This record gives sequence, structure tokens and C-alpha cells, in this order.
Amino acid sequence: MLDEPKNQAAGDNLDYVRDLPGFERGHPHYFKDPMIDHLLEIVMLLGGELWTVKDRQAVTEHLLATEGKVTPEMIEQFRPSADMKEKLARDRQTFVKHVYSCLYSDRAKATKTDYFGIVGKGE
Amino acid sequence: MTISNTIIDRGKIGDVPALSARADEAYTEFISDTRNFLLHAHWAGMSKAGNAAMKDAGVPIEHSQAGVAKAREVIADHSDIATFLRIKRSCQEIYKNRIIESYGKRGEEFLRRLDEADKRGPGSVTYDPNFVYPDYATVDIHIQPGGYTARPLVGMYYDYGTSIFYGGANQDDALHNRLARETPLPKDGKVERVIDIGCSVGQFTCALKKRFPASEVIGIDIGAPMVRYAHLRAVEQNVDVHFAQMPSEALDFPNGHFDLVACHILFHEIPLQVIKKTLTEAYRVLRPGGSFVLWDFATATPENPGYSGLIGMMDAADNGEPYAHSFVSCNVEKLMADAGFTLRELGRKGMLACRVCDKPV
Repeated sequence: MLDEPKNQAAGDNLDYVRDLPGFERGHPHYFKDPMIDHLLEIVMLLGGELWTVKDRQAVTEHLLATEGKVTPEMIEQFRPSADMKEKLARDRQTFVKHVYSCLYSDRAKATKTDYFGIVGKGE
Repeated sequence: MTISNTIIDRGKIGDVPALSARADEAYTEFISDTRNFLLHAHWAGMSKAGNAAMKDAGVPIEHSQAGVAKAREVIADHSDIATFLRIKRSCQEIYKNRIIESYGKRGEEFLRRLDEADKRGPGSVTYDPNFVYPDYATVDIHIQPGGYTARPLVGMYYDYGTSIFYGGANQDDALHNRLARETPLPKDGKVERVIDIGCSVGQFTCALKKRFPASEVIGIDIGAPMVRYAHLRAVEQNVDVHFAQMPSEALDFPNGHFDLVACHILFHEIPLQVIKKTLTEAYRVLRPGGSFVLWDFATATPENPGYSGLIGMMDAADNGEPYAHSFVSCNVEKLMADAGFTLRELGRKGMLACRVCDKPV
């Protein structure tokens, strides 16, 4: 067992919680130069925006090939088949790996202990 | 961005309303995969690297403002760790903001649905529009803007957000259903009344009702938006459960009312004093011979520090988890004994532990 946390008030006085790390959301940065934080955030945002364009392009091409036309409503109502959903997921995961693989050094290589190992799988 | 501002009802994905635009859905799928690839797969390795970096720097891990400030100096010298934490924080902010923005396009419609569901069955919901939240409950938990108490649609945000958080592992509440199926019974097997304390959007509450279909099942949560959405969700699934806005430390039920008291991942979100009061209340509302089942983070040990390591400390500081450290560092099994319970079973599943205890006859 680790030590009891030190910053606990006695009785019902809960004022101390305001001083706990995490009570205020803050705007943290992690690099000496916060500009690197900003640039990484921009990279994440742009990655997401680019994927939405790729997704829309794939849906548009699919609708044109199968329906012969496409409208904004058709895109919004489109539900991919299981096969297409799987292909989109594969393409998306490949895109994520392709763009971001270089971010970590060898020391921080992925381990077999993934998130499911942390929370336990569902059904 | 799309070429149209058309907003249509895009149906549901599992139990949760689909986001308002395909672009929003694609964006959150991208974030989910990015989290899986850059965060989940590296969590264990980065935890070890983070603790080693602190040790090498001779900086103890202290869960305080000063301790976090010193840790930030160490992190800034390790680009892998800084990158991991930057991506973690940015992913949280990006997907939460996208969900709020997306559902906001149909906000009035969703508010109307909540209002209508308030009056419908099966089941029921009770809440107080004038409820005054204690300070401890106003945190932006998980850096959800407004926390889980301030914004009326936050139940929906949470529901959609957890599908991203679990990285696709909780489709149709699979995780909650499994935990409910594994929930041990009181020793005499009698389960007529069940309460889920800190029920959030009612995923575990509904799973408990499926496990115990003949029982009366109640879910309570301090957040009115959460119990209102939990009720809407249950109504749409035709699950007959009752929800009420209620702090876990002040349960409005008679002594000995329940056969089973369940609590899933609440304790790491409340201060230690509130945990102690909640245990006292859980003991009071449980009948002699009834059982209390607590699913939450495993207690930290020197070999398995979990939330007491660097990554856990930074999650607490930068992901709105101010109380998690005090929970994993306290001896909750002893607190259960102090409240009068007898510990029957303690099992660990990954990051979570299941504590089962009984109220002596």
C-alpha cells in the first residue's frame, strides 16, 4: 500500500479539493517550447480533417458507382455495408499509422499490453 | 466541412444517437483509431518510461500542485513522454469539442426528446432543477466542458464519448453487460431490489436489470443531465428501471431497503470523505445478508503503481481526475470493513478490481 495522500482536510471540510491537481482544467503544455505543443495539436486536427475528406470521397465514389448520382443528403444518410465499413476502418488505421508512426522513438515501442489489457474486454 | 449545411436525423449507432454529420462521425472514428495507435498501445511502455525518467531525475512523484510542476520539468526533457501526453490531452479536447458541436446542431430537438422522455415509461426519472451541486462535483471530469452536471446534453456527450474512450470495445454496452453477468449474488441468492450508485448514463443499471429481470432496479447519480439521459436511453431500450438525481453520500432510501448495492467506477471520481460517507450509506440501505459490489480502479502497490505513477499523476492533473489518486492510494477494503462490511472477494481485471462484500446478518 502506498502512503495516504497528504492533502486531505479533516471532517467535512472539502475546500481542499480546489487545490488538487485536476480540479481546474488548465491549459497544459508538455514541451519546453509551447509552440511544439501547438504544432502537434494542429497536426492532430489536420489529420482528422484530412480523414473526413478521404471518407467523404470514398462515400461519394461509392454512391456514384452504385447509384449513378450523389447528393449531400445521400452522403449524410449513407450507411456502409459491413464490408465497406471494414475497408474504411482498414484504410483509416493505415492512414493513422502512415502519418504518425514516426512520433515515438524505439524506446517507446508499442507493447502487447493494449487498452483491453487495462480495462478488460467486453463480450 | 461539408458542401452542405443539411442537418438530418442520421438514426442511431448502437444505443446512442448518431452525430449530426457524416464528417463528424468520420472525425471521431479517426480520433478513436489515433488513440488506439498512439495511446492505448503505448500506455504500459510509457508508464514505465515515465516512472524511470522521474527516478533518473531524482524527482519523487508527489500528487500535489508542486509535484506536478516538478514533473512537467522532467517531462519537457523527454520528447516521447511529452508527445504521448500532448496527444492524449489534444485527443480528449478534440473529440469532446467535436461531439458537443455536432449534437449542438440538433440541440433543441434533443432537449425536447429529454423533456418528453421525462414523462414516459417504462421506469421513471426524478431530479431537482434547482439542485445546488457541491464544489467537488463541479469538476470538468475527463475535461468534459462543464463536467457531468452543467450542460443538459452531457449524458449524450458522455455516451458517444465512451465509444471512443473504449476504443470500440464496448459496443452495445458489452463491457457493462459482462460486469453485470459477473456480479456475485448475496449468499442467500435473494435479489429483489438493486441500486446502482453513481449510475452515469445507466449502462450498468440497465445491464443489472437484464441480469435480474424480476427485480426492481434503481440508478442514482448526482448529475441531473446524466439521470435524464439515462432514463431516455432506458425508455428507448424499453428497460424498466428507475433513475433519480441523488448524491451517493446521502441516499434517500430506508434502512435495509436493498438486497444488492452496486457501484461501477464512481469512487475514483469523488473525494475520500465522500467515499467514506457513501460506504456508510451503502451499508445502511443494504439489508442484513445483502451484498455490496464495487468495481473501480485497483489499489496501487509499489509493484503496480497504476494511477500513482507519472502517467496516472498527469492524467489526474490534465484529464480532470483530482480524486483518483486518493482512491487508489487509500485502503478501500479497510474502509469497507470500517463501514461494517465483511469482504468476501477481491479480484483484479486489468486496471479494474472487483470488491465484493456482505452486510453481516
